[in-house]
Amino acid sequence: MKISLELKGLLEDPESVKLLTTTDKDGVPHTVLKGSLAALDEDFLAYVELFEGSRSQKNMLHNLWFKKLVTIAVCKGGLAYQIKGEPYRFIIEGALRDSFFKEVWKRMPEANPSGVWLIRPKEVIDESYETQLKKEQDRINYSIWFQYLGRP
Amino acid sequence: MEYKFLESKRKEEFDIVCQKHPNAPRSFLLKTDLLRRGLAPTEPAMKRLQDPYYEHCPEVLFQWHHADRTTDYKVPGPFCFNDGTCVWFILSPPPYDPYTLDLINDEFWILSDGEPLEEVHFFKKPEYYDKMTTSGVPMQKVANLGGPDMFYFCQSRHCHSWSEGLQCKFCDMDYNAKHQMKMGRGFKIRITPDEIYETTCEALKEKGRWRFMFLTGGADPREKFERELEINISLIKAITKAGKEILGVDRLPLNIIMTPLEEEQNRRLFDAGISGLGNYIEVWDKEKWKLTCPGKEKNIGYDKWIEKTLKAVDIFGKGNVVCGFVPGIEMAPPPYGFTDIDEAVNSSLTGYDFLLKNGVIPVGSNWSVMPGTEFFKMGATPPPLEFYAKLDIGRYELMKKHEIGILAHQWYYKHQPLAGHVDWLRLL
Ligand code: SF4
Repeated sequence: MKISLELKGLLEDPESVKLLTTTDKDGVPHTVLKGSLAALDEDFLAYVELFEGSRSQKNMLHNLWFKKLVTIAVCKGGLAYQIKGEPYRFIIEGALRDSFFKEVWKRMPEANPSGVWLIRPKEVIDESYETQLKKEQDRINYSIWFQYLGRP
Repeated sequence: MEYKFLESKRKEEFDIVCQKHPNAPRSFLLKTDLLRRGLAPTEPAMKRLQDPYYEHCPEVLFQWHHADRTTDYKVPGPFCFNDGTCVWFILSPPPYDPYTLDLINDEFWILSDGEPLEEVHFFKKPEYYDKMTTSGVPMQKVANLGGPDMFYFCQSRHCHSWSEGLQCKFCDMDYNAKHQMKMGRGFKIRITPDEIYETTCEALKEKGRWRFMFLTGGADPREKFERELEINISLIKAITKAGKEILGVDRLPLNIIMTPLEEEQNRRLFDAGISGLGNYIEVWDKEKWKLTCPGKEKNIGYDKWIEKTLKAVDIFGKGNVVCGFVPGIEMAPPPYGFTDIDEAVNSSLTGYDFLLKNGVIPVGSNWSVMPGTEFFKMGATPPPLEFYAKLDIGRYELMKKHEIGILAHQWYYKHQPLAGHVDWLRLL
């Protein structure tokens, strides 16, 4: 599954809201904001994990080991995407780790991040209002059965 | 049934242990098994690893391999899996039924009977590695990469217990120093404060990479370890000075592994810049300890060792004092070890529990049966994988019981490629 240019641009926009949902061993979801989330290239998403002991970190490891998908939601204005992806690798050394950490340290010089997660998208869902609306409108007899009557 | 390592099959044993412990992440068990059985790299993998981008292990301290490395190929030290689990590169001869390191689509993979198990990544060479000290020593012989974000110093590659034939039965220190020199790879037995100062300065210039360093080396019991302590303090001061000059900090995240000392001596270590102390007892059972570590028994004694280790917490604080073990030697050939897995595991868990209760963290590096050691000469082989699974899970349960307030974060999963207990801490 490739990451489109539009999605890449949305991830790069500092005003976008970016959420990551992981699950624990009992399948309980856990959602957090991930400001550092970015598209590395067409194939991978990446973000910095700040803490070794965070619930997300434990869940990500669990999801990696037991091959469970995680979800990323990103939106700004009418644009929104949801990505289902598999945790692929936790990078603890090397050029990529260095460049992500550098960005973190610009904003938070006191931080000691634990590493950089790579996520491989398996499914990208366009959740934009316009797209969803069109999908909905394409349903048979949308205008008959899906309209709230008397909407203000 | 008696366990015979050389007759056990890698894949079969690994699969059985994975099935028995479905909640143990497979990467933890694979790491343990890689340390136990070692690696046999293919020619293409070894050729790729010669790329100067990669760190190549300077082979100071211990050899770790299960057979003498006599090839010209350089080998790396630590590497990691996709989940960040770090493992040491240990070469093994065929009787160990080692895992294979090969290239698949130009990426490094660990294989077992041709089946790709885990993609692995080797670390980039630290920027200081190829530089020289003013005295002409390659800096990589002064400070070695021990993990992605840590390096360590070996202050002396000679231990006085070896001079008396009282070395610990699993240790290859003096043998390794001689072997590396014979192979033309050795350089220095002892390092000086100037060399350590210059090397630390250069290392710290690679900003944002490091977060842990430690100092270790052979013991010198003369004058109640005062000579060794004085040398160590001069080295610690040199490291601290480098930290101050390059990073503007008063203390670095520095640990030292040493013989247990008197309170006043520990205070001097702390004042010089040590924040974490390691007193390595190696094995918990008292009688087996006396047999396994005759030098330690002669110079300190079992009860004193423990007493002084516990006392050090007053100076360094809870969780900053660690007591090291060599997991695996509990099952060395009798009378040095036990033959029963549970007896061996329980012996160590009793010790871990006692230490944790007292604010001391059990740590250590898994046993590697290395050439030149007494155990190797006895024909010893590694214990069953099941032993390690039980021991690491047991220790994890104890860590949970004693709460995370005393975790030894100095020895975390990125800092210890030679043992599995650190990886379990990630689950706490
Ligand atoms: S004290 Fe024992 S383990 Fe340490 S260097 Fe000396 S012989 Fe080796």
